[in-house]
Amino acid sequence: MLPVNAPKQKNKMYLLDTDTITHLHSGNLKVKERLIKLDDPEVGITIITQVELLRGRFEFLLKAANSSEILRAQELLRTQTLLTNLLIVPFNEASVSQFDRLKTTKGLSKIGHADLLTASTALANRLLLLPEICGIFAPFLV
Amino acid sequence: MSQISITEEVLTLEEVAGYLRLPLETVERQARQGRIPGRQIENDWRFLKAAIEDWLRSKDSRLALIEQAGALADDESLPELRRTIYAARKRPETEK
Repeated sequence: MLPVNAPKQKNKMYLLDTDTITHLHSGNLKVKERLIKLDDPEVGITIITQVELLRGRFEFLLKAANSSEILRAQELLRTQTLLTNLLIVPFNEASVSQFDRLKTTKGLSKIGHADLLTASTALANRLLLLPEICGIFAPFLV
Repeated sequence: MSQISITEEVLTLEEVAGYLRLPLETVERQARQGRIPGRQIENDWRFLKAAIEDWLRSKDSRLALIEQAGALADDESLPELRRTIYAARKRPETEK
């Protein structure tokens, strides 16, 4: 869950992971309320979340088995419009370097590719990742 | 046929810092994080002045998120989408 009383650090912003944004979109009031209570006006998502959500939408359309499913899947492509209005933190030299470092770091071999990419973005830009899976990466923060 | 000439002013990092009256380092950090719209071309940054002005007028990113609460409340496929994403990540979701 979003930490309401997370310590605020200078130049910090929050980064929502994919599960949180989907809960927000589905109308989860707890996520919305905690978002309101965050003291930082800057909250974004990663390109990984963007890709995961859009890939899901595209696959849903491609697998639609009948006319109603096709039309429903097409209608749900409005996710693209929603994402357009959000702050999406891009990869940069620092985050890809962080990724190269993390993927060869002992103890992180079981961490999945998408999680490593998300954590790399958070670590390189000093962002607070929510939910806080990023905690396991703290010892590797440079 | 008349030709319409559209010119869009392109600013350097230094010019954006001056325009926004912010330290150069702040503007560069914000641009790297995607918070200020700009393009990095090798070691240099370039910004469209119109994009900077649009960004200045825009609402903050948290408000944009809050306004999307429940936007897909009618989407019965959302839980399955989430399950598929976290199955691919090979771990359970953290947010409940």
